Amino acid sequence: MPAQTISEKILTRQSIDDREVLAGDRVDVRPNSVLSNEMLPMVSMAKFYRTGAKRVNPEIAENMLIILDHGGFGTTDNMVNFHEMTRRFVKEQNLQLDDAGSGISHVVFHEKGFAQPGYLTLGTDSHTVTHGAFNSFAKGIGGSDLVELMVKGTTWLDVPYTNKVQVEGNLPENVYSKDLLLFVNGEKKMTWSTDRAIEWTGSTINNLSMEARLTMSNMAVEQGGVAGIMPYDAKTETYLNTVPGGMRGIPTESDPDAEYAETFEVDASTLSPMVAKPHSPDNVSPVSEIGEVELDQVFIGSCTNARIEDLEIMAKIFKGNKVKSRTIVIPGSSAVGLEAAKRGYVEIFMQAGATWSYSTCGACYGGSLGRVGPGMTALSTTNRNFIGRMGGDESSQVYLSSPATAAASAIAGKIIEAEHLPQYV
Amino acid sequence: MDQSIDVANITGKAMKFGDAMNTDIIIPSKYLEFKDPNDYCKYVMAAVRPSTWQEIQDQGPTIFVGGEDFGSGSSREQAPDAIIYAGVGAVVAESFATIFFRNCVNVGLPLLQIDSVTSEVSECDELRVNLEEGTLENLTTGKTLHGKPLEGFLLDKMRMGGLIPELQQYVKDNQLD
Ligand code: SF4
Repeated sequence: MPAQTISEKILTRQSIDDREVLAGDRVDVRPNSVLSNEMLPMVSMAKFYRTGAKRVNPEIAENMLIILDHGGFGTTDNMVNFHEMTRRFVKEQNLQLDDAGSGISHVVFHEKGFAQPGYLTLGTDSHTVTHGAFNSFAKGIGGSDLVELMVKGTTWLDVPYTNKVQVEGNLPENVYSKDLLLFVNGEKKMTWSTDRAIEWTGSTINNLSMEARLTMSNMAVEQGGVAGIMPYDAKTETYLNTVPGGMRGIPTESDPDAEYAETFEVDASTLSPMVAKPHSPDNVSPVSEIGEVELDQVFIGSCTNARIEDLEIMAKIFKGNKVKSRTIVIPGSSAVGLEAAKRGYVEIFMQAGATWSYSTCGACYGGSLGRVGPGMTALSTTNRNFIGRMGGDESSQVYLSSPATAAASAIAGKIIEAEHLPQYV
Repeated sequence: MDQSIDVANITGKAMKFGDAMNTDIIIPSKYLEFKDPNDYCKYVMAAVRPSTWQEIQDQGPTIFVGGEDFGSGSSREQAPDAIIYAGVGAVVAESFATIFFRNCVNVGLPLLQIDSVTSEVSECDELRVNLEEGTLENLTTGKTLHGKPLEGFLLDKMRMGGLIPELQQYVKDNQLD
């Protein structure tokens, strides 16, 4: 058998006829775990019934987690209905649900142990790629694809070619994995990995925490990637020892002579804090080069950057300071929120004048809690700044950054590097 | 729409868009709360061209012509549904984002990739798309452009009108109903 990448190995393992596959092949697969959200009531449920099927395939039912995250607690009448439809479907089909307020799907899913090494994970959300940080092949699918899984238990996939990002060197002070990711976005653009998987390797990646890796895998889709896969190591194992069911997967490495479509090398030691400017995550510039950008609002949240390590970084910067711009902080999950409360971060955020909320996607996709309006300028720790994405229109200016840059900028009232915050030591 | 599609002969007037028409542009999230595609399709492409839906109603059968990375971003399949329900017969673009491409096949929105299509088609040109041949005939200029024909596996799904009709057959065959 020729050498294989991680993606080729995982898709070989999950092929329903045990077929050895390589990039370019098409294969019928059975996923190890499945994620869904409001896409289920909005699209999939009605289509599922239209097929005539009565029961969700038992293997899918067992391995699927539904997390209501996009619609807040039910911020509109329609959302309230979608959520209630979901609860009824979950009861009828005996599925697993994390109801609204539990958190964002791409945080709750790995907290609950559904993300595992060597897994094939499919989810009705493009940021399902996040779970590649656990050394899995995790890919976003559409609402009809979920219907196929619910009916048949299997679906088809094209085995992707892989782009490799090799990162060596130490990240400088105040430079985080989000900055590294944005830097690559700026260099390679959103179409770089269309139809391809991305593998991240190198000493810098090995030194990153699980949280920092999750931030990067999350944004693999902003490079076009169908998956964003991290190596498995002691850090992955330590994290998985804390989740229900523990480590259940198969750590998977690419063969040394596996073929890559392209390799991109980055020297992490040369990087500085970055922002993505309106209206695209690949419109990237160093913070030091963007000039005066006054902020009406700072949004800290989302499946990209609202885990406990992100909140820790912010708490350090917020401590003893007051925000100048309206600031909204939303934890990635209720578990993250609880931990932040225990550690005293919530008090720090609120004393600084920020608004603290229950966990939801919030303004990230313009659903609720802190949408921007026309003419407003905002800095956000999220993953997309497309026109109208967070509300508003073409006149709304949304910038993306790391939590450190966002926290410092909230205090300064304009976009700055954390190290330029006068009070920051 | 669960209707079979004549994939060799789709005609309409060109409506042109640029690069990077992501799904937040195709259909912003706030309209997804209208569950019926007949409702949310009225906002298709409104972020960059507010009159899109009305123009399609006025001019009749329409073909979208786009630049690179059409459909990037979210996995929402309401994006291709919004395009279909607005009255668009096909999307021809220079390249497509991965999830969007598959969603189009699943919901039965014919799509064709042709390099530099935006420079060969003008607004309102009369077009004919043939997915079997992978061609776009510009009836206004008389020129035929060649793109990537959709492979048989995907073409069959498209002919049936997408994934749901195929699954209806599967449910019957396997007595899952
Ligand atoms: S936080 Fe944002 S990117 Fe993440 S799942 Fe929610 S809407 Fe999508």
